[in-house]
Amino acid sequence: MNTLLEAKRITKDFLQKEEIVHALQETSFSGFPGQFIAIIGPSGSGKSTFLTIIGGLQKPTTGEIVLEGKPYSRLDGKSRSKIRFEKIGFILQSASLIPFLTVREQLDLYDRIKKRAPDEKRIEELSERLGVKKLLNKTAQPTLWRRTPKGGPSSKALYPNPSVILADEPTAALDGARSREVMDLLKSETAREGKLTIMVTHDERFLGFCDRVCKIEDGVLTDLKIAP
Amino acid sequence: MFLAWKEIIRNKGRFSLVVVMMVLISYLVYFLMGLAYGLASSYTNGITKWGASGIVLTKDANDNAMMSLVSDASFGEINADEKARFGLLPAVAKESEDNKTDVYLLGQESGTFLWDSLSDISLGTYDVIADSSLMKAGYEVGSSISIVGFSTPFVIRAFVEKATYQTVPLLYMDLETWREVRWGEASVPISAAVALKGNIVSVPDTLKSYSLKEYFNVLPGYGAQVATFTLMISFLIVIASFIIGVFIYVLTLQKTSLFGVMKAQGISSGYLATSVLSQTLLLTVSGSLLGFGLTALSVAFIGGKLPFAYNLWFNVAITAAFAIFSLIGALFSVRAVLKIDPVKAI
Repeated sequence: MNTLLEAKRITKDFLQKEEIVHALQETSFSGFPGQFIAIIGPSGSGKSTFLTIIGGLQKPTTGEIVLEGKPYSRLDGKSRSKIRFEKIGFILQSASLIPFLTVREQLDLYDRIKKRAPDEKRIEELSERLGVKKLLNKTAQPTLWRRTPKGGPSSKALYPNPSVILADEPTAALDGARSREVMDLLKSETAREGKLTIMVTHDERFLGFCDRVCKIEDGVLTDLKIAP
Repeated sequence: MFLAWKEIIRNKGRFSLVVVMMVLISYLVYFLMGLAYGLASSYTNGITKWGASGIVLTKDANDNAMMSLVSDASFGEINADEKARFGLLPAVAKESEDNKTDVYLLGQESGTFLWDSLSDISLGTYDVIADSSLMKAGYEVGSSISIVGFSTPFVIRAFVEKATYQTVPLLYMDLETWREVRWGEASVPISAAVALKGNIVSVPDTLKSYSLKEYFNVLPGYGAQVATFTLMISFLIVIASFIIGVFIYVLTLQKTSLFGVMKAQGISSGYLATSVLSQTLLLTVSGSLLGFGLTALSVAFIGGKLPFAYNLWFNVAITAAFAIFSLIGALFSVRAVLKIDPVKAI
């Protein structure tokens, strides 16, 4: 299988009060289409740093990220932003929906920025599958999403049909049943559309859903489990 | 524009506060502008009617047309495309002890361009054309009007709109008649001043030529008044735009985390900045248009009691100034948007 996303010997150092902090030790990592990967580790271990580097939000100190065969972590901010827009779907812990837009308008915004017509078929199909069909014309107030958390942020992340989904604590602040729904959905969408989903989580209840589990501790990434 | 507009309609309360503030300030500004323009034109519109390019007074008159005495001989030496003598004299029109009105007697040389914009009825020796504001004092076409200190009453043959000088209504008459009022006999070869049209080639040494603008600026009170209003209006525009800028800045800071998330999702800073700018523009322009509507409405109700006058271009300029200055204010918000780090959103 072709590697979709590859981290080639990346490191990340920060300067903190005139002291260099090695947030990420030299790490290599490959992800494949259809793979659902969890990254666990204690707070401050470097999980989020890893996620933001492979998501192109910041540059690694050394090394390179290659997405679909093209190195991109050294590109300028604007080019990386464009790649994030088209290739990477973010599901974030903080509200990733725009509170004053309806669910449908969140999707429309993507098309408006891309200057293309809305893909009605995909909207129909996705909203059906994610259970947000009745909510398409509701504004994305946080109260609404606490009740139906799985559909909104995921539909927004999935609509552009990105090749990579990056999820940051997608089950934080959700109860058990709803967390399970979100996990089910991430797993099934990953498999159905052949995406690479990388999830950073504290929640070890659902690691059984994942094809691969990695742990980051003190900036060092180790594999805990790789599905056969 | 999409984001900007959706945010406004989904947060009507918050944004209507901004618009209401803008409406009130712009209402004040448009209204002041109308008053300032109306007042300024009531100083000058009896003379701007001529379409003259310049005015000539004697040098010794010290910029005061009342003190200027241009002899027919000097007049003959003026070299310009078109020239016409006129005389100005403050006077009091007296109907009864209780009904006295300040007026200016404006004697205009017959057969010259000075008469072009006025009624083409021919005036007899003691006939005048009067400013329409005298109708409010009870005069009508055919009324006689007595000038204090002159024994023969005049007859009003016609009224014209906006014929005032230094806010006082004018009585237009023939230059010969004016000379009779001023000097006691019509044959005295002296008028107060000369109006010129077209190219001005030369004037004799004893005379001084003014462009119309220069002439108005030396009218007592005119320059100071225009400067005062201009200053007030400019300050109001800057203050209003600054307040809008601050509002937008606060709203932008509140959205820092949202903008961070959007940047993480790959929405460009340029798109977000454009959205902030277009939102500012939307609020400012809609607020000022409503303010203008309110002004028009107020004028419809109280017009006539105030020297109010519209000038399309001044109003367009004010609206444009509101838009431009508030966009400058919004640049602080744009800077804030550009500085948001998407890494912090995660």
